Amino acid sequence: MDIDGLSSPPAPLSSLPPSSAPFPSTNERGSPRSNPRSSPVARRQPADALAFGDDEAEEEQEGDESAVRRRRRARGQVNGDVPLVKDAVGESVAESFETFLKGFTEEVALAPTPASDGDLPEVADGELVYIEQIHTMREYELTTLYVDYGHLLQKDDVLADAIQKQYYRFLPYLRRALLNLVTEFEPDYLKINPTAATTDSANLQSREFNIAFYHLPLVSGIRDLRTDKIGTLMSISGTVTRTSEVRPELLFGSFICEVCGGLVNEIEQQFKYTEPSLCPNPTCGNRTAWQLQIDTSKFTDWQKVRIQENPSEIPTGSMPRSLDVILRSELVERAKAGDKCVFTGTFIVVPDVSQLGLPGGNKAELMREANGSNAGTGGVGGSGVTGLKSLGVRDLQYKTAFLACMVHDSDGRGGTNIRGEEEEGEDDGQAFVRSLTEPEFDELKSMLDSDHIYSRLVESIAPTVYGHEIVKKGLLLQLMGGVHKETKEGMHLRGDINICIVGDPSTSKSQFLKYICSFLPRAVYTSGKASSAAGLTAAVVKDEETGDFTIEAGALMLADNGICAIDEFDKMDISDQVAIHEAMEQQTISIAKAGIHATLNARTSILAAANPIGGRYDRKKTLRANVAMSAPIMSRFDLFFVVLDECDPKTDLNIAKHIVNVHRFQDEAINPEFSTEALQRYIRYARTFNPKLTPEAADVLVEKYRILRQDDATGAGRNSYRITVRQLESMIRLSEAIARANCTSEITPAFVREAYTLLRQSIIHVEQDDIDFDEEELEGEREGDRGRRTAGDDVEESQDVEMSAAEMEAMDQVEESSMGIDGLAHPNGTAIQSGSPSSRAGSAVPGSTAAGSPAPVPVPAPPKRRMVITHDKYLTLQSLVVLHLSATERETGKGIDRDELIDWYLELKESEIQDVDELEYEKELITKMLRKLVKDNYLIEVRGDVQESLPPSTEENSAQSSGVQDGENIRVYYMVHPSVDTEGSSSVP
Amino acid sequence: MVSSLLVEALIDPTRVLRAIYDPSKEIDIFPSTVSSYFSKVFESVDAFQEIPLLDVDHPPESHSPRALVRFRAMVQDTSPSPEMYLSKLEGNKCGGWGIANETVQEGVDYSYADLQECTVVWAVNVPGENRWSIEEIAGTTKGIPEKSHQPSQQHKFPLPDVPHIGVQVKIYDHSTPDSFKSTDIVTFVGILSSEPIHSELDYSTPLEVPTLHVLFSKPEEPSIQGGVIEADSSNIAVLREDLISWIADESLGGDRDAAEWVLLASIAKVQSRNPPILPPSLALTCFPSPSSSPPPPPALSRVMSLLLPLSVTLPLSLPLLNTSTFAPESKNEDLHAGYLQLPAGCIVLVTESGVAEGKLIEKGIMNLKALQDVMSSQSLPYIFPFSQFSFPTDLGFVILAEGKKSAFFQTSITHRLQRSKSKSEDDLYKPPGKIALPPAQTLAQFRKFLSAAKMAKVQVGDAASEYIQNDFVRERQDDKSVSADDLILRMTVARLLALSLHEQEVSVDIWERAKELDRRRKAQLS
Repeated sequence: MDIDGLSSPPAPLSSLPPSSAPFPSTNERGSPRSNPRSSPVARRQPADALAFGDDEAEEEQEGDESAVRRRRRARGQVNGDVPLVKDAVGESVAESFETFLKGFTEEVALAPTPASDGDLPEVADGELVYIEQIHTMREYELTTLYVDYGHLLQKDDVLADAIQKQYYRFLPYLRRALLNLVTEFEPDYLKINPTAATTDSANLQSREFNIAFYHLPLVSGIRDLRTDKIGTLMSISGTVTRTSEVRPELLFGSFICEVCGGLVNEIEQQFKYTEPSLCPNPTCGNRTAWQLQIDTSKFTDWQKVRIQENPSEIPTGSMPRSLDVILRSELVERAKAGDKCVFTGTFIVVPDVSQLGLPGGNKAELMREANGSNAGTGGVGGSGVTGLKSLGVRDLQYKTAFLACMVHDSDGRGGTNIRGEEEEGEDDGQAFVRSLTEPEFDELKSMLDSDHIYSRLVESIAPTVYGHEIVKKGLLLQLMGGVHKETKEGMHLRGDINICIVGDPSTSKSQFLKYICSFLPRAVYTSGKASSAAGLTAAVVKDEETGDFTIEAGALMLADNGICAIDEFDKMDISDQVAIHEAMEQQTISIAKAGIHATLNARTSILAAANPIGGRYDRKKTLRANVAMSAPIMSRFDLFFVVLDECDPKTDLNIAKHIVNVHRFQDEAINPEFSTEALQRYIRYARTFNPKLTPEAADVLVEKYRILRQDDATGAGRNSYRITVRQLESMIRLSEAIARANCTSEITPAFVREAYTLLRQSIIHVEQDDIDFDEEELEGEREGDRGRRTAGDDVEESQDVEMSAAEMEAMDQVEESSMGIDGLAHPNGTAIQSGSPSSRAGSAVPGSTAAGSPAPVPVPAPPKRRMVITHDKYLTLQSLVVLHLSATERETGKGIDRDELIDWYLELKESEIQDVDELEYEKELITKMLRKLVKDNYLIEVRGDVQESLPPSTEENSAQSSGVQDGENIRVYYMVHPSVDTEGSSSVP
Repeated sequence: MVSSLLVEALIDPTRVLRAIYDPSKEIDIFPSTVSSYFSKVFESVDAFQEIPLLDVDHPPESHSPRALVRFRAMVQDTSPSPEMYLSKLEGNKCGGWGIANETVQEGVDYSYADLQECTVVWAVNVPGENRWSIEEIAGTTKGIPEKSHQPSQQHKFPLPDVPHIGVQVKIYDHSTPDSFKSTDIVTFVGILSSEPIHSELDYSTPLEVPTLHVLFSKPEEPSIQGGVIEADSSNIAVLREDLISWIADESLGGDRDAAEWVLLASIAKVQSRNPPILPPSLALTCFPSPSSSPPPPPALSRVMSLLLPLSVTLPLSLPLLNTSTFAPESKNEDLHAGYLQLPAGCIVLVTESGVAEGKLIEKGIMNLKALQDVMSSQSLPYIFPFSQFSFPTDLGFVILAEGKKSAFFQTSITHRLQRSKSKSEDDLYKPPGKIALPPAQTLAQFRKFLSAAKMAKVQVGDAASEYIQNDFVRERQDDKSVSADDLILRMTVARLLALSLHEQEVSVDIWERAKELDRRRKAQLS
């Protein structure tokens, strides 16, 4: 008889905790657990909603106690002729699992273990990892064995697959395997004996052991939980929104029969308080009068947490879903409200019985039945879902929950966890790719395979805004982000890139911000004027339930792992600027309000827009003097962009065209190469890369940083702020983002150079003067002017400073790249320079007597246009020419004929040249450019058919009038000056 | 044949449901079978109109249990988790749609492979929908509520103190997952019953709420209300002038420009979100405050409700700002509606006259910010624990401000009201009864006119584009303060003007007219 089983010493193997008691007061549900007495077969009572859909389910519909009762009744009835079958598969799973645990050794270097598991033992190579863990469990009095699912996969993928697919079914077998191991290796640890003296050996309480799986290859979202996932082993991630207190959960109850005084032990509990159905004493027959013996009953810790979908997983326009997660035993208090966690376990369905017993129609019967079962009158079908179900005259509802065996902080998956980064990054990328539809995948693939993806991506950013390529480049890199890092000391280094756009009113600043917000659905847009520190950061509110103060997220935290766009940053309270200051660097927010201090995560990139002091950007002043921002805050921005309102008919026309077209054709007007969706997918994929510096790139980085520092030390650069290690970090972040944009895990020197260029343009270069060729020409003759210092000169800078960087990039990648993005469209670099431009340009590299100056600029002013180009443009052209030459030299060992070189240049520019005037202008420009390059010792000029080196003679050169004619008689070749480091910087000769 | 199917479906939808259930087929596809079956039965407009209405006048109590009803509703809350139901009851009978076992039978086990999911959302009758529009869409309706209805979930309707119906809607057909978004207007047809609220939290006594088990649903199709307007261009022009005059005379103290701006603001909608071409917000400034107290609603509020299908008046005051919520907020996993959780196309009339001196607490600031956000970016943040998410909106705003500019908001257009001398201040606040209504036919024409203008699309021709571009360059050279933003606004105005003229293209002429309108507005400002 079943009843006998109840008093017999429990089989220790199957003492699973009740698999779910999320709704202790009201819920009843069948338990999936095996009954200790009736062989594990009975586990899969259908009432537990764990439909496995396989044949065996039919045979295993008997559950625990209620099932036992029913079986007693049912035998000979419905299920009477179904013989009890052992779950042979389960047995073999147990066996394989035991073998795995016994035999697994770490073959490779130790895989990273989840950061939150302080209790995971350290193991060395070749050790029996899990056996060692069992010893450790005893040592530290732990009852949970942590099993890396990756190990399972690696060792026995059949077993891994079985566990994954039918986790809930095999769980008792897995635990039995663990128990066997404990019995074998730590037999003393099996039993606990709190009141040893009074109990006999039969009543020694056995320990409950749990298995926690982690490192599942795929982490799902709450939305992915569907009925087909029930009972499988899976990982889900979510943000914890509330946690219940930790309560004791009765696992096995000991009861004293109030009639005969007999003791009934080990009554398994499931989801509700369950008393023995019948006194085992054959003469007693008591069914109702029981008293729970607290001291001999077995309890475990139990906690229910509520999780909410992570913002990134919510489809646009949908609301976040929530789910209950049940944590037991050593897992309680692992997750705190606000944490983003990954839970591993299984999805379960629980009939919602709370609705029964309501007032309303058809209730009489319900009430009667419900009462009957609750009172434990011992009537048949009094408990268990089947019984309840049959009561239902209404549609019974079901609740879902997640039964977790493992919880850990999921920040690691975002890239914070450096230890597991590469692996996980790969996984994430794969997982993301898997989530794509075929056309989406094809599109992504073609993007990956195409050339010059970086510059083409830039072109597709903020297509509504006309021009401003460098700002767009910055935005792209911000979207890509650098790699989050964590030092060994647990210090977080931000990977987010912060950008500030400074500019005249009613330029396109806000449009950039709005673009980012529309691009990233979860980005936060806020105005510095309208936000208080509380709104921007985090608020402390009183919990209505408890009366305690709790922390509620504000905008910054909301944008966790997103972008917070702050318009009118300059209008923000200084105190608020300081508040987000911390967020920008530490990626946390400290708040001290209402008597509590707290530190919150706020991993967000900041995109700020600020108006210059006095309304208009004053070119005569430094950036610093133009922005109402303290130096520390300024230095937290990786990039500054200056956007000026230039009054120029051609620009105006282009802007007007752009606006009109947007209104005319909307999407088609701007027609970016990549749609927003394609871009979003690309960026999501790119963000799964965690690029590392190659040794060569590291060298370049060091060199670039040295240059910046040196520049700073001499004060020549007139920096907006001191160059510190922050800028080094910025450069690394930017390089990482550039590598991500190229979807590669290696940071090449080219990426570092691009990052350096951006940084330089942003922090120093804003104030570079334009290069005036005519002036230069003159200056070339007045050699004495060369050394003049620049301090106090008018600061000339223009928005097309930015343009050139794209070209740099293009060149870095492919030396002969086409000049897709060019400053031509921005002809406002025409300002006339009165100072001494060459030395200004040279100031970037103090100590070098000659640095950049001339460069061609397409200035669309009629007849006698002055040959003035921006310094950036000059640098761009300079490196363009130098790189082209050096590439040719490497191939042929020879220089390039001047005419050829000019033709090559004009061909590059072909698409932008609209009429003959421009052609002529370009021609003259390149000629002058070449001359200046020679003068500045970037190139050597070689004359004659025989490539015979002549000393480069500037005098001779300038004596000849305008370049085109010189070549008439003598052929002139150009070669790169030996002192130019083609690998290093284009600006250092 | 068809008619008998129709009658059957109308009388006992549950029986029909059982009848079409075929246990031998895949249970997964049954919900979509149901959906297509019933939509077929009620395909024709007449058949559809036969379905009894569920609305404020016909509250749930007035229907018998498990009656077939149609409910034109706004989706308010999509956050509840899907619910599991047993799709196959004992004896291979149909499950779901609130059908449960009829007989109590012991010892029968169920296969949990039969568990299916249904989506649960909360829907309310369309907030801000004006009576004439309700009647037009629903067909004829009785004016008097049969029973007064006490909604149990008042906090889930955006407009407090307005009678409403809130229903828990269960959707079984998943052929279009996640298809219902907040503020969507959908007509649900289904079986009405009363069930406990589907909540994640455990209540000791769960609340019973009206529940609609959806058989099929129809999304709101943009259609010109009242049918197509038949009129030639000269008629259109006359009609437009009449409309402007009526708005001006009855609600704006005779200011025809103001009336034209109101007209333009009323037909604006989101053209494109990316690139953003959003409806401009309008502030009518120097709009005097009413002399009586409590402040009566402006006559404009009534005029708009007569003309527009969806309009809401939001009388700002410090108590309202400091105590109510504008943005929806999830409290205890229940999304409380905010004032601004309104369906697309709704025009919000914000009056600032009720604002007195006082302190605006943080909640008030957040409310103002929410309102400003919707105005400038057409997205409304919904507040969830530890996060907030922006949801797209498509709302028009007209702000009535006493001062020279709005006290709280930055609007795209500010027009200073030029009241004619003959009209008193009180004229702007005259009670609805004193508003001179045009003949019913004219009023219907006005409505059609506005609805058609809102629906239409307008192009910008090549010639006009060229002209506009050059115009901008010229202006920039004359006046450097002219910015790209000005051009963007002017383009928007020109498009709206073309729409209001029922033109299909922005011509040079319309461009000049738009510029002139804008110039007059700016001249008054300075």
